[in-house]
Amino acid sequence: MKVLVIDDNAVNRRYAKSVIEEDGISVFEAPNGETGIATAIEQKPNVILVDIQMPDMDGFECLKRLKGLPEIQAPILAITAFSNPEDRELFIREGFQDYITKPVKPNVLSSTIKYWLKTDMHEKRIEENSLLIEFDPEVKEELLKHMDPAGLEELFLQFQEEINEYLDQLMFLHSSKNYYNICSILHIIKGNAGSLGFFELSELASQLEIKIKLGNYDALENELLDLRSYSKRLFDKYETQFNLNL
Amino acid sequence: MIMTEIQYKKVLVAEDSSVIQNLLKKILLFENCKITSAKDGQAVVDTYNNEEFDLIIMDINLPKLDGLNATKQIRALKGSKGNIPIIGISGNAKNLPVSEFFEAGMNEYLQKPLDYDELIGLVKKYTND
Repeated sequence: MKVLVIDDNAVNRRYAKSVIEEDGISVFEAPNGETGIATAIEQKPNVILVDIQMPDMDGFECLKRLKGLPEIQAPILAITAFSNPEDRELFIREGFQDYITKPVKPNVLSSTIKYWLKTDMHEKRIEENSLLIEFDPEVKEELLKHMDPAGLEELFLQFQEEINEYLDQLMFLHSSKNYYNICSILHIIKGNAGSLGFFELSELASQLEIKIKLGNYDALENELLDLRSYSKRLFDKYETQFNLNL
Repeated sequence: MIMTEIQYKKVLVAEDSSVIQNLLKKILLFENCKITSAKDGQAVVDTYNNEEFDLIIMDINLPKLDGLNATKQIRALKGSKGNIPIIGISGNAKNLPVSEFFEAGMNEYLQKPLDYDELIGLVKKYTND
């Protein structure tokens, strides 16, 4: 994981570097836009932080140049002393993914960087299709570090029962064209499935949610039926994984 | 039963999925936290008005009142009541800038699927006086 910090102020750069490195992330520094762009091309960072007020090339110009480079796909975040709502809207409109206001608090910097690293990773995994694993046993092992096997079994049964109920509800909501509630339920399914390691189910629910939000309901009934038969197959296949009390 | 001297920390969890509620309950019980659950943003504010807690874990996508507005209402409370640590959690459904969570008054933000070690680290950070 790599983060690039483009800022003309050496103290600010060093501060950001020390906060971000504490999370085990490598940091590259650049004192101006030109060097920053060259470093971005060379290092392919996962997230880029750009100070808005810099003498030669300001943050907006730097953003525009970075966005013009097809090899740079990383989220670009602004660091700024401007903190009124109109300024902030401007940053997002111009194409910054997020912004961090000065004085930069360490927990805000750290959470924001981690959020965008995760998002960047997630998008790469979608591109590589590696999110489409039915079930990741590592998630189960991770959960077993924090709860006993009987607790995990109970959790899995609850998850399974609830999904079945939700899928019935979805069919009903579809017949009454209640798309808002359909989205809420799909969002819960996405989160629950992801938390228990059923990444493909999570992704299927997520894609349906996005489709509906874009107003694309034409094939929804069949898609919901597919989701139901998919999850039934899934549970039949992995049920024994969670029979931990036997 | 042997009575132990464990001091439970009281955590209010705002989460509309009962599976995630249950999951957090189990994980945090391992860390000596006692969980109270609330299913929507209004319920969080109401429960917190009537009871003391050490920490709030707040989902962003909540029915009735979302996590950002619930946080703003809690921050508007007078005295120490308005200063309770709040950890935000959410999937990135809306791709909101993270800065919005902090502006609403959250102390930390974690993205789902949750990294449980990270969550526990934060819970400890904010509950150990």
